Parts: sequence; structure tokens; C-alpha cells
Amino acid sequence: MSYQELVDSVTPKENKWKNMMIAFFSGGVMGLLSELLVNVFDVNVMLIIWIVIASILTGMGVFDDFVDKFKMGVIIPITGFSHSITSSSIDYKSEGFITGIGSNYMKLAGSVILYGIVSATIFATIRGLLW
Amino acid sequence: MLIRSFIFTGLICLIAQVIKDNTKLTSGHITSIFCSIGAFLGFIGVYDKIVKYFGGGASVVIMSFGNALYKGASENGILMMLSNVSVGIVTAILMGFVMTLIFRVKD
Repeated sequence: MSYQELVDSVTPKENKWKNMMIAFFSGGVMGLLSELLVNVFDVNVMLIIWIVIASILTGMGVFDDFVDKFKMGVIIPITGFSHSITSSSIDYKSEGFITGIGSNYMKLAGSVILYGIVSATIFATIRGLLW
Repeated sequence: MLIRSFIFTGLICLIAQVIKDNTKLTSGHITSIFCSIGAFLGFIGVYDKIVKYFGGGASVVIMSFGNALYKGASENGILMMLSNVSVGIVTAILMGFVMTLIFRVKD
């Protein structure tokens, strides 16, 4: 038996179908609650509420358990964005305010902002050239 | 409208989960890709219709971030594109800092 086969036989198989169902339902509940919040307040308040909740839960160390349980259902909504900022910031707290927190603040959210800005620039430029 | 939101956000998260389980891409890759897809959907004029039809569920996924960036770029100019997403980014940054001051990393 090669090493790779051994590794494959020992690592627990994640049930892909179960994961898909979990992601669908947890994501769906997020969407449903968001629609409720938009009806009660407005879009910006809805985003702020999710960001604050996700940030607090991340700080308390609960959000990682949520990600284990609810999979991508809590990563793709704005809660994942907030979680990535707070978690990388807390992880590097021990290394100080500048070299720790400051330098590592946007570790994951930075890629979302970067590629969002790059693609938005490309598309807006194309639009400007076309009409 | 609530059910439409449920289905839309659920489907997007399901697609993301399928990508994550079947490829080597991490959550960081997937959120970045979805953000760019959102900008593209805004570019072809679909995203506004999606938001109108599916409601809040379409505003909470990371794709709406890309869409808001594209909209900001086309309405206010490329250098002012952040105006529409400023609320989200600033809230997330401030909350992250406050939480870092309050909590420490859990072992």
C-alpha cells in the first residue's frame, strides 16, 4: 500500500451531499433573515447588524464552530468577510499593535477587496469604452 | 419574497460548498472569485434584477460587494468606487479592532 492510499484510508471522508444540504439550508436561513432585516430596517442596517454579530461571535471564539457546522452558509454572506478581519486581527494580537494587528489586519478580506476593485475597474473601463 | 431569499442565498452557498469540496480552492479563493462574479453580473446588468427579484438574500452574499464596487465605479468614477461599500468595510474594520482589544485568542 502506498503512502497516499494509507492516508486516504485513514482520513475521515467528508460527506459531500450532507455538506451541500447543510450549506443550502444555513445559507438559506441567512438569506431569509436578511430579507426580514431589510424589510424592518434597510440594506445598510442589515449589513451592519450581520457584521457586528459575526465580529462579536468571532471574538468570543464561537464563529469557528459555526463554520464547522454550517460550512459555506456563513462564509459566503457578509458574515464571512467580517469574520476574516476579526479572526486574523485577534490571531496576531500577541505580536503587537503595528507589526501584529496592523500588518495582518486584511489578510483574507484584502484579497476580496483587491480582486473586487480590480474586476470592477476592468468592467467599468470596458463599459466606459463601449457606451 | 422570504422564500425567494432563502432559495437564492441557499443556492449560492451550495455552489460555493461544491466548489470547496471538489477542488483545492480555499474559502479565500472562493469569496474572491464570487466577488469578481458579482462585479461581472453588475456589468452585464443582471445583478440589479436579481436584487429586485430575490430581495435581501441577494444583498447579503459577497457577490453584492462586487456589484456595489462596479456600480460605484460606473456611477461615481473608478476612483470613488468605494463609496457604496464604505459602510460595510468601515464597520467590519472598526468592529474587528474593538473585538481585538476586548478578546484574546482562544486556545
